[in-house]
Amino acid sequence: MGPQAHHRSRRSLFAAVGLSLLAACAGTPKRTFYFDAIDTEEKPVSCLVVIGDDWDGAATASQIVNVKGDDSVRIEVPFDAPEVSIICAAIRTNATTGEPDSLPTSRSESTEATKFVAGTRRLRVDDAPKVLFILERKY
Amino acid sequence: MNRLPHPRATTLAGLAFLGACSSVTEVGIVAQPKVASIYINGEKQGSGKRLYVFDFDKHPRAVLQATAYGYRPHTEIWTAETLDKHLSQFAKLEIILEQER
Repeated sequence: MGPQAHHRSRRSLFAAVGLSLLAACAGTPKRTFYFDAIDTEEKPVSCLVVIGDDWDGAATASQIVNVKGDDSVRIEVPFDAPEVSIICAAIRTNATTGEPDSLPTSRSESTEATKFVAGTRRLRVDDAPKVLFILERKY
Repeated sequence: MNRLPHPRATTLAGLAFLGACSSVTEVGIVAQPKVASIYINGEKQGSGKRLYVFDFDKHPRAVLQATAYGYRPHTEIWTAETLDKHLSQFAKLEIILEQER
């Protein structure tokens, strides 16, 4: 193989890799949603919002809502499937500082710590941007 | 000679076509107990009895929720198809919340 042919084949390889990377990126649509959580008295509940069962990722990205007041958390959700599962798990906060005591790593851990049953939803890319969870207490 | 359709006729035909394809439905929603708050797509609509225009052109699914203190919260997901089917049998959407035990 001559040097020109070698360059051509290298260029084609780079182009192919670039195109496949582009295709991979374009293949996972992302959409921004705003998550909020209340109890049956319509009071805000501090929660961790977990996308697709990634509890560690939710904690690392601080996907928490209603920790220092009534707000919502903005999350860019990747849709690698037509529906993505969302869990809204209540968290215990420090009464003095308002900071989360510890973040749960499962639904049962959240219920154990807060007595709230975690909410679940299967979200689609074209759903309304505001996602509200109404959490009920476990008796 | 070929005659072009009158512009007004074209506009009317266009609007009729859009109307036929539109997925906008006005529905009465009743929640029990009457103090129950009704939420649609995360937004509070009021309590007890509401009239709501579902716009499925904007979002193909609508999330209807109701809550009241002392009752279990309720969530339903509606599409243009499921709502049409429901309204062919019932005049409105009715949510009866179950009391907490």
